[in-house]
Amino acid sequence: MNILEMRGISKSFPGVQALTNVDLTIRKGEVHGLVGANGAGKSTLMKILSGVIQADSGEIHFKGQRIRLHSPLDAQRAGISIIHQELSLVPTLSVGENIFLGRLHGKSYSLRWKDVYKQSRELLKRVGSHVDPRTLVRDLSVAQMQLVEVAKALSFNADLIIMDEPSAVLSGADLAHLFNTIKSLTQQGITIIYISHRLDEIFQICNRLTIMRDGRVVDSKDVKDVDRDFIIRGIVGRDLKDEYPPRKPKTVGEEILSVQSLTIRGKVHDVSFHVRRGEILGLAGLVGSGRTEIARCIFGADRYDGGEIRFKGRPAQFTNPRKAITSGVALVPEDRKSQGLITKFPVRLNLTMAALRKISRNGFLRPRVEREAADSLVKTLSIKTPSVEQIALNLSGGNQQKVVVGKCLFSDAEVIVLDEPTRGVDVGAKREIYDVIHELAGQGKSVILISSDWDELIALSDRLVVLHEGRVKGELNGSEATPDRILELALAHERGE
Amino acid sequence: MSTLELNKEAPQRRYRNLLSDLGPLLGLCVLTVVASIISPSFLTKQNITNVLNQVAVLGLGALGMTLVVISGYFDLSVAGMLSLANVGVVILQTRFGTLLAIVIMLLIGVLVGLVNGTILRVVRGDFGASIMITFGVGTILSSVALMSTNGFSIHAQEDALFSWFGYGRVLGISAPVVLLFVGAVVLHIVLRHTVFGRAIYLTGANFEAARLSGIPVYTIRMITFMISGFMVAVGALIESSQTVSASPVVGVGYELNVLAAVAIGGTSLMGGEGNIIRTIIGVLLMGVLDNIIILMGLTTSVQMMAEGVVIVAAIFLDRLKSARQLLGRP
Amino acid sequence: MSSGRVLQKLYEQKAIVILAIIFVASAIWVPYFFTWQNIQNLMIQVSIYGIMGFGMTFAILAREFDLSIGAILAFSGVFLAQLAPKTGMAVAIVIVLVVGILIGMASGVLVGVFKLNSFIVTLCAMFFYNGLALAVSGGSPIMVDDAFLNWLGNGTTASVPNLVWTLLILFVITEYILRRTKFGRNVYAVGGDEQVAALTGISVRFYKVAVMTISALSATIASIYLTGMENSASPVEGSSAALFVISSVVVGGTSLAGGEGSAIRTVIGLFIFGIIDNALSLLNVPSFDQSLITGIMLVLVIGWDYYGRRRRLSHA
Repeated sequence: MNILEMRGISKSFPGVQALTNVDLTIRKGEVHGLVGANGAGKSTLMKILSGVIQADSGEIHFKGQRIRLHSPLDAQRAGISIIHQELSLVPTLSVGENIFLGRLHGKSYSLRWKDVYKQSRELLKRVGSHVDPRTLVRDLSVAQMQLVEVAKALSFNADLIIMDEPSAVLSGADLAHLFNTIKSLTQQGITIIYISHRLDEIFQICNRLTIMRDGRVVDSKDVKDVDRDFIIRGIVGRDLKDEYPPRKPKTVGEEILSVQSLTIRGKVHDVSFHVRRGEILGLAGLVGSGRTEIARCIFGADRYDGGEIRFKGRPAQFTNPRKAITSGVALVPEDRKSQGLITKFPVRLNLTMAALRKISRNGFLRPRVEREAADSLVKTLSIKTPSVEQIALNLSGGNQQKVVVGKCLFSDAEVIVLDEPTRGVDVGAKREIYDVIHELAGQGKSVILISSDWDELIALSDRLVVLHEGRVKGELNGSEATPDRILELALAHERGE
Repeated sequence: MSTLELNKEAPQRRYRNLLSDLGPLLGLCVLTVVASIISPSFLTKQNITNVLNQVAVLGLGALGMTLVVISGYFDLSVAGMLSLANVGVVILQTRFGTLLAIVIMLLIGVLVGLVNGTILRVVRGDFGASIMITFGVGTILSSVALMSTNGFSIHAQEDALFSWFGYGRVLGISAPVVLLFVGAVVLHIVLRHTVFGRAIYLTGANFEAARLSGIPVYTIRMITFMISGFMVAVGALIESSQTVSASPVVGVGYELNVLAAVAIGGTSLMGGEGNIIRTIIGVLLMGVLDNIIILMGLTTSVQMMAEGVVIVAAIFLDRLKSARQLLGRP
Repeated sequence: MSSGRVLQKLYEQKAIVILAIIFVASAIWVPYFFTWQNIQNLMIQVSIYGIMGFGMTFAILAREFDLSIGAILAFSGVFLAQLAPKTGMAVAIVIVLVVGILIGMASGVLVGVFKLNSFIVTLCAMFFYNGLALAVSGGSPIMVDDAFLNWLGNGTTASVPNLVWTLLILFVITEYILRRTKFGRNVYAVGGDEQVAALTGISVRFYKVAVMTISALSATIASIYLTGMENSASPVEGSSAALFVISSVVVGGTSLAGGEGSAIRTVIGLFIFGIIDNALSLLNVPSFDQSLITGIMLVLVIGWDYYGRRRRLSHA
């Protein structure tokens, strides 16, 4: 019996077709895996199902009835709950209050806390949590919070619970605990949609799975009828060859930057790697594997607890981004709009902001020099903009990203760290960014590339370091790397846990 | 975003910018006309000189505040600073002589800015923190002012240097106006033509992006506070010279006057936007407004209410203008 | 983790520790501090600010802010004084209370609906109502001679000042609302995480307007008692009220980050500042010096609050 049918769901955002005519069928009482690369449309689809956003077209049938979801509350009332990666709990309130937030027991002028806590305790027991419902959420671990979220979903009498990559934040024993909870929930007749990047998990707990790619459903199958290769082929897709610039033989220079035993408490453990002049080094790993944290440490944006970063053979004292930039290290941050660009300022100001000294003399700006520099950067990077005075907000995603890269170029960086440079960029513009990356390496600059798109990493990187839960799990040469190999390393379960 | 949309946006944006640039100027013209209708004495040379002399103190504070506001902070300590510098210079005068007293007071102005900036750097304060902290610092300064004179006004010793700030003339123009003009020109050049000025805009427009681009954001903000303290100290000199006395409560309401001038001129209180010309227009607007209120024989109470309404209206319009921009505050 | 827990607990209890130290120190070193008469004075002093403190607690819990309470206090007082001879005291009180609510709603709509920064809005409101108070009163204090008002401000019931009774009653009501009503809990939720609250179907707008209204109303109530206490209303009353009240609420442990705090914490904070104020008066420290000390305390307390928040964030 089908508990949920989504038919012909389409959704577009400005500049991006996120979902195209998607059908999804979920059977009652199953654990349904949903897999796909970042940007494949999983999250968008689930946001529609949980009422956070509305589809442009298509129908949702739940428990045999057509439903319309205008808000998260509608979805919850209908019996659909989602557990986000960013948890939706109020940290300053107690566990029990969070579970029943907005629906506390008793009359509105006389709440009955006893009932709140009693029922919370029962719900927590159903999900196998022994947390005291009076504890503040702020004092819980992430794993405990996840279970509170599940308990909250149950409090709505949810028939369908969506779990958005719980394993991105959980591991080992916590994850095993969650799996037990999921099993006992399905025995209680509850249906689960489980989103994950980890294929082991899919085989472990899912009955069926749906593979998505580029905003479409590739396939839906019983898990017992598929194998790893099938799933990977589905996720990655083939015939993407001309999407990437051809690999050219090149000479790689001496080591310029090295990370030695870098440790950030709770996030990164004993990570070492190095990068040479003219080399593109890929950092592969899932969201939460510590990639971004490492990048920010290299750049001096965050502090680290142990280890050393060496630049040109000497310990790098990058206590703030300023020192990193003046030494010749630049970062293209993960969140382009809030951290990379000043979107309401013209392209010109954005391009020159990291190297104001180059457009000034004795502290005074030189408008002509600035203008020429901006013009020439626009030309070299072929940024599509009517003029350098255009507001950055009005550029397309890909061109915005090129502006950020241009900013780093202009600061005379020798090592450029690119964190997810092609996220939210359409296919055509991606190719241009790839060409720019190749160009950089060709000029003898070192590139550290972080991406969730493994094809991209493989196609561009000379060498790949695979991270998993803040540890280096392996190193691959560009030529020997395949998605399977990365997946194998990146998805590796820690032994002995 | 498609090019079609882009083309549609552009003229609208230009139109809106024009409106926000010319609006205050238009307001100034209208008010001037209104003033000259209400009182024939308004457009006399005497009265205009009066208006300009009166706005000098306000104007100097507003110039400094403009830099602070563009960098994304607020400085509410200007009121306490004005009171303190006002009595401070007179008290110090008796002990150290006029010149040294002036120098010390200007340095104290810079020092107060340094303190504001340092506290906010240590606590990694956001916009709200800057309001609260400078509010507290302002309270401390005005208490010190009150303490040092026991709450009374005190008389200044007049000498040539001291009188110059209030009554001196340069090329036939009165000193307060010259000081305001020089301050405006210098800060205009700083904002528009120096690396520091550019860094102020970048810091205020997107704090995190500026930081990641290697701009020393907290230092930039600290320096704007120091400039603000300095400018207010200069204003205080003019004030005490003009009145040949010093009152420890002269600064009451000054912060709001200053903010009103900045906001009404069209500098966004959200940071990252604005310029000196706008502020000067705002200052003149406030001056004419005050003059009208006085000419009409209305009380300070009306003035206070008008200023409150003016600022709320200004930030309200600013909010409407930037409503479609999804930019977060740093 | 466990040592962090201990520190956290200590951090949470810091206010009561400070209060105890200040109380004991004053009792030992400040002459006449620990006398029945003075304790009663202290209670009365704290009460006026306390009434506003509870209103401010709502605002700060919802992550908003009200600098205008002192001005509302002044305006309501002179408004009441001008109105009473014309309408009779009972009607005047009702009108003043209604106006207080409207004043709060006006700020609340600007803050909650139009999303303007409550710092700036209430700073402007502060000047607006100060100006209005001057205009209404003509700039000088107005005598009010009313038996009922006088009884409110100066009378006693069961040998406890009425003002203290009021503080006690308002404390119980506030604590009840905050702990046991849906309204109170939703205020916490809105302050704790606006987005989560909205996702849960809580109307963030409504609560922002509501807390600003409660804050303004509390200042109006305080003004009625103050007028009764002094038998007059002054347009320059309450200039340091906002400073004192905000400092008290924050020092009590209600965070400016929102969603955390309680009425009892506010009471503790009020007494910390009240005792300092009282002890300084007994020690004949001039009032200017007192406001200096208040200013320093404000900077320290706010700085501490922000600093603590930053550390908690970086560890999360």
